[in-house]
Amino acid sequence: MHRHGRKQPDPRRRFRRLLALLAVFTVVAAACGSSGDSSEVGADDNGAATGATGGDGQAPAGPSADLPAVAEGAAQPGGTYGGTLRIAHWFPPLSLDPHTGSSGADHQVLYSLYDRLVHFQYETLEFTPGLATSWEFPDPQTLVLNLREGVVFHDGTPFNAEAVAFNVDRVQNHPNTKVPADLESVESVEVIDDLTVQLNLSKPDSGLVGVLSDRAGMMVSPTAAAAAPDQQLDATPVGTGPFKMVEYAAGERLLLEKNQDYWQEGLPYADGIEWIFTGDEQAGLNGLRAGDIDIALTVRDGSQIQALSSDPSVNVITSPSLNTDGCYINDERPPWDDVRVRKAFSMAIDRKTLADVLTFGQAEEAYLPVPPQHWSSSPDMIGVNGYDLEQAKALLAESGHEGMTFTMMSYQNPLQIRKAELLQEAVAQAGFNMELEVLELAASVPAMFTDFQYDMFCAPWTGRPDPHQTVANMLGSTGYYSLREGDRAGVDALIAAAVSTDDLDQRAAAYADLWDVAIGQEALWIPLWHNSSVTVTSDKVGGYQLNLLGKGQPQFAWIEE
Amino acid sequence: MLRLLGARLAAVIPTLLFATFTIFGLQHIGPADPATLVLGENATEERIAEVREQLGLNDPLLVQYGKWVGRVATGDLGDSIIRREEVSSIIGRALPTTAQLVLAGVTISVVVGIPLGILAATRANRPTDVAVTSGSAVGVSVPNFWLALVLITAVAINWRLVPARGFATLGDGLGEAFRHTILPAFVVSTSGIAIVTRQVRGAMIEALNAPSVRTHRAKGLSWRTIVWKHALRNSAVTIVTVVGLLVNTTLGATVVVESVFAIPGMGTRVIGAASARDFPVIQGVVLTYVLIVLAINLIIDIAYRIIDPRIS
Repeated sequence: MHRHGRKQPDPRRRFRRLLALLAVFTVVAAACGSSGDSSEVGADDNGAATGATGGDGQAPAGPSADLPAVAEGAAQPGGTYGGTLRIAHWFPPLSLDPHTGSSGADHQVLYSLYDRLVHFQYETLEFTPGLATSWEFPDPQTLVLNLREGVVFHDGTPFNAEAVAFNVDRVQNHPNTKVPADLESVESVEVIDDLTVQLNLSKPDSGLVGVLSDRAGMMVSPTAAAAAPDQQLDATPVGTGPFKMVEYAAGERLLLEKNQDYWQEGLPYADGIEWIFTGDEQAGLNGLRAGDIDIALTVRDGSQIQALSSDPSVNVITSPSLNTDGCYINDERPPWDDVRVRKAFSMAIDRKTLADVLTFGQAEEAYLPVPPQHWSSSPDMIGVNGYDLEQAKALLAESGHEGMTFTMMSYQNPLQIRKAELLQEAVAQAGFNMELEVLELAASVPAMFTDFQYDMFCAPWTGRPDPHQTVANMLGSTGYYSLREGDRAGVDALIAAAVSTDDLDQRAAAYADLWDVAIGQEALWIPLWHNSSVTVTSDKVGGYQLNLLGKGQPQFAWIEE
Repeated sequence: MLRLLGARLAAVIPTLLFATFTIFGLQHIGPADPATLVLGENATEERIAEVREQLGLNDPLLVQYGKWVGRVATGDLGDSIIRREEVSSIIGRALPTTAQLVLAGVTISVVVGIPLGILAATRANRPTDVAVTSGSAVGVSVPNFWLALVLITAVAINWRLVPARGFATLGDGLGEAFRHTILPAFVVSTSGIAIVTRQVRGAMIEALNAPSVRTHRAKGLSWRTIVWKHALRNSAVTIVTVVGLLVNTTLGATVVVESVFAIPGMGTRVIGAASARDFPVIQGVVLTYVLIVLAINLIIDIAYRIIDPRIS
């Protein structure tokens, strides 16, 4: 894992090349939808990607090599048209409205109904054109979006600058919006012409582009939104996406049919998608093996994966993801305000061993909140505050808190409890006396982050498309998941610096500085391991692509029959 | 008869009051604040206060209970906190599914259990009886979720005879409904089969040892007539009681079994709602369960008197 010091393509240069290619590709795709060109983009990018992940000269251990390298929504050649994809999702969506819903597990369903202004490259989460064909910051506080021509919503409403303005307003001001914070920096919206819209910002925020690839960038039909009960599209989604709704039984099943007017020529492949919400992961896998499910999304139980991998009738698709386990520390509470205690805790944890035991080899040790594949990652951080039991004991002794007792909170979930118990044993070696309290999931997050009842909470962070959303939430003094009352060691300024430019080279450098201070020197958040995301499909399914965000996008897969 | 019905219904009221109070109290036991659940993690204090007011959480407990009962009495079970759907419409969709599963399970229990019980009773203490009796001990003890997993693996995945998950009601066609129902119905019926077998066996042994049986034999009635006409009729009260109780135990079994088979019934709903702390849904489903059980008990009570005029 020692990636630095070896020759490897500069990821930022790679991004430049990619953007250039994408610009060309978008034009070509829009003009004729030629699959030949898209495969060329894929090939070139794939080569570059392998170089980056295999930086230690070894073949990259599995997952990353499996990642398809085409841009989101690019037609993969050779797909089969027709048929209905039957997709099992263990978590029923709470709402089909992107702005008034908030569950992280809803995205996978939303992607098939809504396009976003900005899409991303599956492998690295670098941003690519979506409903916006291009964007620019004429100055750091102005973002101009050029919109795609000729796109219509499922209900016939045209997609244009007015629609974008409506959606921005909806995200900010709908009485039940769940994501107003995402567009906090947007002060006003100007419709320049039918296909150009300008966002005026209250402060520099280049992270906004990434935000527009998430919920806040999902465009809903203004007509449908105004007409819906409570103006919420919970059960009546209308977007511009590749599929439109036919029938919905909330919590059970959602039937979609192909959007014949979809703007990406040649897509989607399937005539329809039947979403089946099982409420239970095992039921989806059973259905898959019995032949009445085509895709089982997001398999979390690592113990299943080996058996499934040896079954020739299914494909197990594994990819690295942003989902990263780590520990949130209440560092306002002594003795956790002492950085030596935080570092000692971090160094007491043998990440590799614990991750292997817990996830059956499905996770990689982590030293940052973002995985090494991500553009904002910094190779210099690998191993920082990593496992070193002697050093951990020494630091704790130096701080004068050997044998200190503290309470970690965990939530009711077999894997989470097992993890907490393993951590308990691990840190005991270094002289921490850790007590464990288990709460229900719904009570756990408020107990930690609203009421500040515990010293520590170790849980997976599911990740956000732009790292700014992650660091502002987790490390910034005003972030919900940060436990600091004020700024520490200038972290707030470093966070702001990383969004003061839209130049990716400069942003990556700014994140390297931020990681060094917040994670390395201050140990404000203790990274544990990066989880993979796993999806299982039948061998009849093609073109299914997992991505680094960890939320699979099944809408462009196909089925052979 | 009408007076009897009136008296029975009156007796149900205290039970109902107790049950509704317990169900209502559920949401005040847990640590999570419903207002925070509705609003998500980044809600402001003002917004939380506003929603608490909307949900009536600031009223005294008894006032809240009174209002809730008032609404429930008019059929308004409120909206799901998590999904913003009316609880009554959620139950309306889930209830037929669960009812079909329970009915199928009870039918299997009765159709298999009664003949087995009679068989064992007529061969009391002989090898057939021992086999049936020990079989029923296994039936009672085998855990449903385990049996469900084993059967899914064997019957649905390996042999592909029936679907591994999901459900179809009679509205989707008889064949589809049968294919989807048979496996889970069998799983929920296993303890029922065992209970019916044992109770029928006991009642039949008693009935067959009654002096009247000797008289029937002396009159020259065939053994078959004695068993199926006279002894069985004398065991009828036991059987009706057992079947009534069976509906209740089978209903309980569906909670777990529906989850394993991913059947969108009331059990799956209540489990999902419990893990999301969606109190209106929990309350609505549990209340429905309570009403079903009370109704079944009432029906049994009345059925006794029709079958056996000696009970008053």
